[in-house]
Amino acid sequence: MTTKLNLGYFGLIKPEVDLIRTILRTSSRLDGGWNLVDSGECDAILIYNAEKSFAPFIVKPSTQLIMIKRRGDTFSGHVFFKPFRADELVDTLLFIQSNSEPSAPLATDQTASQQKTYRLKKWPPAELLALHKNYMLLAVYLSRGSKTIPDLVTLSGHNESFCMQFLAELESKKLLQSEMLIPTRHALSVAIESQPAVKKNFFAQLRSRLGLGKP
Amino acid sequence: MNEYKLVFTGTTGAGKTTAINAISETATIVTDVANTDPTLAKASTTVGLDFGQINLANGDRVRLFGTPGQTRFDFMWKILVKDAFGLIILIDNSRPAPLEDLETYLNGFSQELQTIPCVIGVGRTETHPSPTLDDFSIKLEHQNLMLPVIPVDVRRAEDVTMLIDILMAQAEADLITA
Repeated sequence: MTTKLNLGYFGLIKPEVDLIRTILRTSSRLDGGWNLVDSGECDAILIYNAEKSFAPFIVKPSTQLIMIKRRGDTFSGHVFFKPFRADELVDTLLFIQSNSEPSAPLATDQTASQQKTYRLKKWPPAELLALHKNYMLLAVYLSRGSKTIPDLVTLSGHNESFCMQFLAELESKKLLQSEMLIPTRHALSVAIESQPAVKKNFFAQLRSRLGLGKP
Repeated sequence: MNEYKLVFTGTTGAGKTTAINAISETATIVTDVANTDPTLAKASTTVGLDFGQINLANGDRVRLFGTPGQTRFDFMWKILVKDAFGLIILIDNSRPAPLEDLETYLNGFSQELQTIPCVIGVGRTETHPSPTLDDFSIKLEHQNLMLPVIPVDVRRAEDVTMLIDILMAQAEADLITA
């Protein structure tokens, strides 16, 4: 690998930051592939007590947000625990690193990807879904029949880069089945616009009532 | 005004009543009796059904039903799930055989699972990490099902709303599929 990846941190205390910096420097498995940065563009951010803004870090569509909880806490969703265990941190960073290589097939040929439909062959492991809090919903969409990237964008509210990043991660685990888009499938990308208005309105109303929002 | 039905099922003690309580706007109607099962660490248990409700801004209602957990009341499961827009299966990971528990409900709702959205919520994973979420996914795979499995604490309203969010995601994905 020629380009180092940047790891940001948010809400951690200095001894924890120093520990992470030491792990990044000394881990033979990481082989110096990661920089710990104080600001700027990040490939991953460790987040404790998340807030809406991660300034001074710049979050890209492909940036992996790693939420942190204390060991023993009750929790929901996908988290990383502290006190940190070096092996867990290294495993996580290696996983992110392997999926950010420029040779990832889905990331290098966007046009070809747009002309395909995708569906899950099997449900992804919890470890993969834990890499981002919104991967679960993308997996749900892909588990319910074939979807194009525009379908995923429409359903999830995320941009193409984010959806393609997830597809690349599934592909790397051989969990994805893809097919070339057949002509009759084109109209389906906008099918959600013609879904029964009653049902569409119901979902919107219930989401609003439950305080759920799409990005 | 439209009415929609959402069903919570799962083993006794998995938290169906608690989950409905966490999000219901109206006082939950329960049909509990004193628990006589010494293996359950609870004073009462549901023998009929639980009922709660969410009122939407446009006047629509979501009726929340909890099935009785005991398999001897499984005749009620199919009655309650009829015309539901989603099914939430709650599993208590501290019980002796959670994977077998899941199988019981997959078999009990096998017909409905072919059509309606369903999500599996696994409780007490912090204290009982085994079986893992991946073990549940493998169990589902053996039953030719691919359903989301997530850890939940149904005492937390946000965990229960997350389950419902996933059901809606499934329903929306179905609408966009040929």
